[in-house]
Amino acid sequence: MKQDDEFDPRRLRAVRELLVAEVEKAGSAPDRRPRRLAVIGLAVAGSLALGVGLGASAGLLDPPTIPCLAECNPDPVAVPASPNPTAPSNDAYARIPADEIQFSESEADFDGNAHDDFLWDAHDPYYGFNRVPVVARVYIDTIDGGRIFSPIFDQYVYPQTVGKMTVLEVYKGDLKAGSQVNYARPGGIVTFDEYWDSLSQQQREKHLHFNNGQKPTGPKYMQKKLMDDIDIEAGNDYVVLLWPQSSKDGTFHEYFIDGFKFGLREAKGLGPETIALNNETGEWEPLGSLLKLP
Amino acid sequence: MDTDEKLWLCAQAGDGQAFVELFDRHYRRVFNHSLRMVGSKENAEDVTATVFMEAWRKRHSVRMVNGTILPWLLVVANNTIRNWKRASHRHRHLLSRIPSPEYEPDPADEISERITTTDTDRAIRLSFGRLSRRDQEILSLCVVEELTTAEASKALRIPLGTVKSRLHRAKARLAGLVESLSAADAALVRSWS
Repeated sequence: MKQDDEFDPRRLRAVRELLVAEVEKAGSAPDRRPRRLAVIGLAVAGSLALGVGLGASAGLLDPPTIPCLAECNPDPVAVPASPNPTAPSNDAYARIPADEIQFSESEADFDGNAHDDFLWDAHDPYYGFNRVPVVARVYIDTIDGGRIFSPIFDQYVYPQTVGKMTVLEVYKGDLKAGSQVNYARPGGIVTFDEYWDSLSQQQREKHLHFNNGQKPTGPKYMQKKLMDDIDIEAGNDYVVLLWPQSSKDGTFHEYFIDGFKFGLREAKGLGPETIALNNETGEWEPLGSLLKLP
Repeated sequence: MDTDEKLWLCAQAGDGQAFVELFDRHYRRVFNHSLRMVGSKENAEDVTATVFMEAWRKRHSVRMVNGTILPWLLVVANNTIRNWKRASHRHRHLLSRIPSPEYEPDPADEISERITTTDTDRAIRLSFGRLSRRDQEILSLCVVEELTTAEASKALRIPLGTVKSRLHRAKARLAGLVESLSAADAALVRSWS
């Protein structure tokens, strides 16, 4: 698998100049970052596995031991006015400054069978279709931001991405084509303060231990996602596995996109010609390979 | 010659030339690694530039493995490729300052490829592309880039045993895919140490 291509010398020079400029620019700015952030990925993965395994409704992912704080704001994170004029206006994440995000992946293994405590049964192509009540093709209108406090469960959850999607076609369940609905999906970017508020005392103490007893002062945002998962993108069509869910008072409704990379399959083509991207192999497959079509 | 660690410390102190020296030292490996994963020279160049921008953005979580930053850069490359579209959005204002490529398609390349690429290479490349990203990642680090399992463990921040089991499974899956094309090629894959 050898490759002998060479980097274009003109572009190479430009990259070098950019890197020098970035380093020197940062060198003259005050450092707002923490010395060290403890990674709690494994603990969160444990909560994830528990949440998926017990997900009686809506692919529940909430760590059950984290207490609910009533004063928390259930709204998506407030994203600053765009510092990048080329960022798409329907993707709130693309407007977050790149150097303000701390990234953390949670470990999980999809390779086995669901009944062996893996998150998903990757060996059964219809596992997802059989598992959820609603399967549809949708268009992602917006990514409105991330949240860590769920208005559905009224408690802290693993960070989620939320936004609006338009239903294009329904393959299973009770959902109206043409309607625009709210969605939520595990993995998201929240402010570090929100993330900090969501931690248990024990988790906070770990952070404090790695930061000389001080609450880290930055970065401003925290991105959490499951290892190997894909990112949802505004402006794309997907075939999605959905759980309808509502807040306890019945005033807020949304659809939870279940199944990580197995439940969010980019789609193209029309009607019977529709094909969906297999995020494991990178190949486009006919819908019949993942859905039981009439 | 300065070590990666020393250059990195200088870069963090605001020395742009030190970062460029690190770039010059490692960009070819990152570029070739990216090329294998994205398949297009132009995209591999963009990914390589993004990797170093991401490396700078995440400079407080950089991990040196046995005194070199390369394994960590390769892991960042894998993550960048996985999230390339969004990472590109983040760095678009910088990437837009890199001149567009001026490639002239050379028909000789295709002919050369046909002549020099063996059936085995082709079978492995085809099968590699069908693997999951996780399998591609561990194989690209431990087999193609020839990191030891201990180095991959440090770079990926996962236990050594996990690296070994993932590598074993990835090789088995690759061999299985290759086997569907050629039994002899599958035996070759299984023999990789």
